[in-house]
Amino acid sequence: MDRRTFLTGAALGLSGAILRPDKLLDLSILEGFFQKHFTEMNETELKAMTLRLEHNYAEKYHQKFKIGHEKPIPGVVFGYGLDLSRCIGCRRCVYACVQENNQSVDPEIHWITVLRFKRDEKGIEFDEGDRYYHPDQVPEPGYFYMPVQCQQCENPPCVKACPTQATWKEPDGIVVVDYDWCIGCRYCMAACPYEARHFNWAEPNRRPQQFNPDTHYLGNRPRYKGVVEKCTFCVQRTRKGRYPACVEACPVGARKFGNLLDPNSEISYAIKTKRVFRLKDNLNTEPKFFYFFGYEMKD
Amino acid sequence: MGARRGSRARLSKELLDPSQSIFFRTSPPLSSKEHSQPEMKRHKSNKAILTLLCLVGFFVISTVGCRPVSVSHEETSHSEGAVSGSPLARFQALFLKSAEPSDPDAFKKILIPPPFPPRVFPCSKCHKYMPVNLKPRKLVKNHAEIVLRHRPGGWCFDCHSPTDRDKIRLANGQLIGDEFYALCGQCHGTVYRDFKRGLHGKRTGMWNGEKRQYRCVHCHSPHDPHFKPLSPLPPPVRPQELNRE
Repeated sequence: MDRRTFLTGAALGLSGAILRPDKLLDLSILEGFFQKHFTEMNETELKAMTLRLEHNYAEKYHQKFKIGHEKPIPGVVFGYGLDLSRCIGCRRCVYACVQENNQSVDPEIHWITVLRFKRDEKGIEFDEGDRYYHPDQVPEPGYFYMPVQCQQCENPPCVKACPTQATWKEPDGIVVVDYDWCIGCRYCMAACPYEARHFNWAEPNRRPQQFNPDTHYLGNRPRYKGVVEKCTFCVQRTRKGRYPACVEACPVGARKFGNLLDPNSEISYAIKTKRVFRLKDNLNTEPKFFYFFGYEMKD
Repeated sequence: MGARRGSRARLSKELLDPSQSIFFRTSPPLSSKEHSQPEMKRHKSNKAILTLLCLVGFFVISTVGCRPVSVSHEETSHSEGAVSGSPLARFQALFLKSAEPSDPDAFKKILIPPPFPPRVFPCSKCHKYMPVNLKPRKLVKNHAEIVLRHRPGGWCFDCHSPTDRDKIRLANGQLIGDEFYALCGQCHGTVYRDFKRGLHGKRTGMWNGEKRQYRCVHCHSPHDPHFKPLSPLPPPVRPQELNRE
C-alpha cells in the first residue's frame, strides 16, 4: 500500500466515523475495552457482560447464543482417565469435541490429537508417534493409540507464561482462558509440553448456524481471531453435572471422568485399581489426566 | 492483573502523601497540638495490646499452621487402597480436604435397552411349536447368520433356556430377565467387577447423578463377542497442506 491510498483510506474512514455517530457512540465497545478481569467481577457485572456478548455474537453469527458463567462446584476437582488398552484410535472424540466446543473447521483446530505408536520395546516415543494415520479400519494389529489433549495440570506452565493473566486455574482444577483478555502472544503455547493449546489464525469458520449455542464464558463460546484456546473438560457441561462430550462420544468407553476428591468416583476407582501413569510426569506439571491400562494389551 | 494494578496505584498514592499510607497509619502525626498526656498512656496500652496480639498470633500460627501437613500424612497412610506415593494419594494430599465419599450404587442408572435385531424377539413365537434339540450342529435353515465364536464347544443352551425360550439362564439353571450382565459375569468376573463400578463399559449422562449405562451386548455380540473394527474419522490437516492465502 502506498502513501496516497493509505491517506485516502484514513480520510474516508474518519469521515465515515463522523457520519455514523451511532457506531462511534456504541457504548458496548467501551464496555468491552474496560472490562474487568473475570475473577473480579460480581454477579451483576457478569450478567451485564454476558448479555452484551450474547448480543454481539447474535449480530456476528446470526444465531442465538446462551453464555453461562457457572461457578465451580465446591469440593470437586475434576480428573480424567483414559484406558489405553481399550482406545482403538477411531477419532470419534476429536470430532465430538469440535462439534461441542465450536472449534473452527477451516482453518481446522482439533483440541484432541490421537497419536499412533508401534507396539515395540520403545513404547511411547513422541518422535515416532503418527497423528496422520488413516487406515480403512482401526484398530490395526501391532499399533496402539494415545489421545492427547489438555492435561489440566495442577502446576500449569502455561499459566505462569501468560503476561496478561488471561489464563488461570479454576478451583475445580481446570485451566481456562478468558478470550477477551488474551492478547495472542502465544507464550502459553510455547510453555505447554503437551501441545494442548491452539491458536486462532482466523475468525472461527463453521457452516452458518452450526454453532453449539449452549456455551460458557470460559469454555466454548466462539473465539476471536488471534486468541489461544484449549480443552476445558467441557466446562459448560461438567459444571452442570454432565459428562464431557468426548466421554459420551467414545464408542469403546475408554474415557472416564469424575471427581478426584470423591474416593468412590469412577476416576478414583481407576487410579486405585489399575496401572496408571501421567504424561511427562517428570516435568512436575502434576496433570489431572490419567492414562491407565484396564487390561493386558492383546493383539 | 487488576489486583496488581490496584496495589501499584496505592503505592504511588503513598509516595505522594505519606499520611495516606497504610504503613504509617499506626502512629498519628506527632506535630498535632492536642497531643496530651492521657493520649500517650492510651498509646502505651495500645502497644501492649499489639505485642500481646502478635504473641497470640505467633502461637496460633505455629500450632495450627503446621497441622494440615501432619494430617495429610496420616490421611494418605490410612486411606484404603491408596498406595502412598500413588498419584491419587498425592493429589488428595495436595488439596488437604476430602469430599464426602459418594455411594457408587446410589446414582440412578438407566439401563439402555439391548439392541435386538428386528423381528427376532420373542423367540417363543416360533420355538413354541418346535421340539428341543440339545445336540450341537450346524444351523442351515434358520439363524444361519449366527456365527458362534464365543467359546470353543459352546452351544445355544449354555445361555438360552431350553424350557422357557424367551429367557436366558445362568449356569445354575436360574432364569434371568433383564440382568444380562450377570450372565456374562459368571465367567468374566474381573470385567464384571469393573463394569459395576463404571470402569468397563460406557456411561453417559451425569458424572454426579443419573447415568445411562450401556449393556455388554451393545459392544459385544454374545455369539461373536470381539469388538468389531471401525473406520476412523479423517486425520488432521498437515501443516504443508493448509490453505495459505
